[in-house]
Amino acid sequence: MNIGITASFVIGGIFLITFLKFNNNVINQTHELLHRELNHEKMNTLLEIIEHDFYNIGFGIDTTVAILESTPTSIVFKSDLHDDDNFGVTNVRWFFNINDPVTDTENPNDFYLTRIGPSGFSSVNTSKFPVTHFKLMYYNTNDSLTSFRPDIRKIEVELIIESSDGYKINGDNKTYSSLVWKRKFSPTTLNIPANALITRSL
Amino acid sequence: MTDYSDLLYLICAMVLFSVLSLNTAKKFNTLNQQSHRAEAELRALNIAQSEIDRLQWINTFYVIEPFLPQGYIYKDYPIQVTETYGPNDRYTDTFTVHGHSEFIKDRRGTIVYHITIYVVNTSFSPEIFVFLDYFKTIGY
Repeated sequence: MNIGITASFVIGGIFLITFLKFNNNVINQTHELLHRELNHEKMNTLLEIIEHDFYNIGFGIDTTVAILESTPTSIVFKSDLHDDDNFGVTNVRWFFNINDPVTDTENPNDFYLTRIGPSGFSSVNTSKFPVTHFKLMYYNTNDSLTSFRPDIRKIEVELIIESSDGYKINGDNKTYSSLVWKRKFSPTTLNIPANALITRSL
Repeated sequence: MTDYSDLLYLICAMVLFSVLSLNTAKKFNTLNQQSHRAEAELRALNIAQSEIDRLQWINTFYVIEPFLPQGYIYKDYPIQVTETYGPNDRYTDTFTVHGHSEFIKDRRGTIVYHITIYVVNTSFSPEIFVFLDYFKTIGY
């Protein structure tokens, strides 16, 4: 066999393998960055609603009955969320149900975070957001954890969103880019002196 | 292979390809770092905002008066805040929170303070920091 042809095959083969590996890395990196951006977009949309809802917990009512249910994965509270809609004070519920998985994505860690409450001028409906983690923690005036609802002054929300598709495939292991967010809210109505009535929205 | 010129061309092509791949990898690395930094900045901002939210409900001036150190809210600052996130505390991030209050004016029964919250995360290079200013008015 011609030694020149053999050398060309060997060098060309190494070159081809390197190129394929490089190409694979570029695809994975692009995939990761794209999904990271998508996570940001999804998170921003969700946070806009969460911030509006949680800052206005108890708006328009007596503080002692503002929160009706408070568990690590769900909260029910009363509020007149939109001052100019057809509703007065309504119940708003946020809950994370690990028995309600997202079936149209390949990520097995996605579950629906559900919001039931007023969403427009004249409608109360259910909205679902795919998230991988949602946790609520409740604090009293001294920043200590509490489960006694009348003592709740601050609510900490922890949220993780993961990409719908895996971007790095290593055998069966897929990696999902994730975005974590955590914030402690001090809703106005829960913190003003007792029995005061909020008359204007934030 | 007729002579060494073919080999030379091949070596040149491989060097060129290596330089291009290095550049591409560098670009992606920079983008990834920027993205990570943006996420860490968001978390730092949330910690600073939570501090401001806490200040909103203080209604006694001695808590934010730096010359009355007994009740001063920032007497033990800067403090280390370690935040854990996710199921089984999968992610951890440590921030240093600085707080400072400055008397601005006392006029017609109200005192105004300028409060600065500074949150820094030193696990990044250069470090990530967030400044938030808050003007607090308290009546007496």
